Amino acid sequence: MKHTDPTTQILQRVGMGIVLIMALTTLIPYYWMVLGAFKTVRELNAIPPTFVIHEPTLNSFYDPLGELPPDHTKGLLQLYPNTQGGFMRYMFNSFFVSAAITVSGLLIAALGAFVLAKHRFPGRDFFFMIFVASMMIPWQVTIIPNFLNVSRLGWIDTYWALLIPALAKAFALFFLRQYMLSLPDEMLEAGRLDGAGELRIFVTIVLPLIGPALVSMGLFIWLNEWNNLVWPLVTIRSEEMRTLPLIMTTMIDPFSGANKQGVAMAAALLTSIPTLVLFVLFQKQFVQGIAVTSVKG
Amino acid sequence: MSDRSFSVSPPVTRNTSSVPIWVRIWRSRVSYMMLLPFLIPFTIFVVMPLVQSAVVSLYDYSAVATDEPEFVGAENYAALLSLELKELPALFDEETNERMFQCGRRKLPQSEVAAYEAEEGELCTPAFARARDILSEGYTDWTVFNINATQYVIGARDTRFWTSISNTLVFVFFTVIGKLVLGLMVALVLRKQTITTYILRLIFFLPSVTASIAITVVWGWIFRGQPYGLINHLALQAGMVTEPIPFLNSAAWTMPILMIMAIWGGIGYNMILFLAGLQNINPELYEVAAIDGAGPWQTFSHITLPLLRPTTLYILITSIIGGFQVFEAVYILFASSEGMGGVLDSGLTVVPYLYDRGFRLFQMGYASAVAWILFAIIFVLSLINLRVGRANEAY
Repeated sequence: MKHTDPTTQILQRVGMGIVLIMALTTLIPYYWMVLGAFKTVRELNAIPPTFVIHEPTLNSFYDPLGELPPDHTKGLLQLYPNTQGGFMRYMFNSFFVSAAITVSGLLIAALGAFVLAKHRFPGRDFFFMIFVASMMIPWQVTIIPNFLNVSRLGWIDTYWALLIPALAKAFALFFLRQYMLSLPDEMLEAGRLDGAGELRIFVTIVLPLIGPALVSMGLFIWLNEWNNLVWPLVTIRSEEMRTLPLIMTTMIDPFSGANKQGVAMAAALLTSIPTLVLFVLFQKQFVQGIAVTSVKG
Repeated sequence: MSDRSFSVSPPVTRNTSSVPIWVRIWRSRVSYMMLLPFLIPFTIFVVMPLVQSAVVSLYDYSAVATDEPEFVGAENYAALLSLELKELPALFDEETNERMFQCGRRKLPQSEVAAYEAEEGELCTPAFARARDILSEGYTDWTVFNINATQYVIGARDTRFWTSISNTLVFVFFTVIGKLVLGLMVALVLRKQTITTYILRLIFFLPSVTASIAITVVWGWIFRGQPYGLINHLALQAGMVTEPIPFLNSAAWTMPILMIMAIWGGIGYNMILFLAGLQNINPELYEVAAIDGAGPWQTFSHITLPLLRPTTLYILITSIIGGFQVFEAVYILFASSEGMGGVLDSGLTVVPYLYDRGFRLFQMGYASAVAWILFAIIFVLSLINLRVGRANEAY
């Protein structure tokens, strides 16, 4: 057994103490969010604020009494009467856009990655170089022309505007290509000897083999799209096309009183739950995705 | 795709140097076809906008006005980057040629200063010429500073841009160091794999996988300027303040709040990277060090830290790049119809400024120029990152 000297032990104790405090600090916003989402209006207005909920309620989500009586305010699901489906419509918009971009973005990136990793053709290295170089371009440079182009196409306020410009993810292509380089060529050759076309080889042999990479990359893309604020901010005008990040920007109005805190926390909770669920399901891939993309990148 | 009858097998390349290029291209058509689904959106929404952006940045291009965009060459860049340093001359009375002093709101000659100070009980300071009389046309004073009793003024044609740059630099400096140091500390403490460290790692990683927008809103309520805001409540309770602090409406608090949020959200990510780096360190090194009687500090500074150098540099540069692009938190907490940067532009960083020009004032050309200046900064940092990466491989 190793014997550690007393200084190291003290250092470890102190370090652990600090880290525990930091961990608690990390949890504070989450605690405050859950707390606020289930408090009654009266409790939200309480001074000093309460740290344990006395009478938990779902009124911040849906309040059957609505605005009228004192100590009541409209719940999140009642807030948007002009939009069919109200808040659920915004949830749907965010889900649909994030999922569609993730799936189609992964697919076209994987196709391109396969060709770049396993085929040889004139210009291959040129294309690869361009894709890698493009990863340095910050979105701030392309957002203005993209906005102008999307306006000219008449896509403002449509799903097209949210989906199509987001499809080509160079970092996904790069990441998947690096992963595919390690696939043994013999497997692909076996497929070719069986007379399978390249597309068939891609679908039946390559895609199943890169499953873990697809999951890691998919989670990464999904989280980014779910969080995307700037692009919907410039391309979406109408109420019913809004995504969750756009709704969140309205949840912090400095002139609204404590009454609105419950609704804001409920919205924050509903916005963060989907990604947290994915995280719980795919912890390993999340962490691997980060470690791998960074170390290799 | 039905090309199995052909001898197209793309990946199998014999020595092809004797085959003409167009034959090789024709033989590779399957490969090109499979690249197209990516290449088309990539060309339209990445490559083309890049070129357009460069062109637009040379125009006076308003997205709302009906006038045609006007070509202005490098004028947008000149307006953004122009700075001017001038000495502010001391102020003298025009008739008596006496040195003038600033006493409260009045300017008094030196002879009357003593009387004023005695009467009002406040000190006078030497008066200087007004900055706007000194600066060239088109320039306004951005900042005034004092060296050896000489007053200097820095004028800029676009003072808000320089405010955004200096705010960004402050933000980057403190958040990058904060995230780096705390991330490393957490990684070192949670290095061993036990059930406790596993749970703690998960907790620290949470902010990286939560919708940051939602958490920003929660922070906004935590920092509320009323007593029901969590921080104000705690501060009042602890007796640190007597009145609630209007955190979100006070210029002094804008940057600290942005930085706290950024550091809070970034520790876990850096922790993961450091843990990966620590894993690559050969444990035998530590055993040897222990046998040699090295203390914890020596072990850390001679083994752990040098071997974490690649990870540290990577984190350093990517977080600087990320810091330059901060936007969401500023927008959600501080943007208003008057500007994106909060009270007195105290939270105005580069990207919110770009957004302000482009999508509040609709000056597309000007905003594009801001974007290219940002791009230049990020490009240089990325090049450094590449070089560091290469050096690390040799490491």
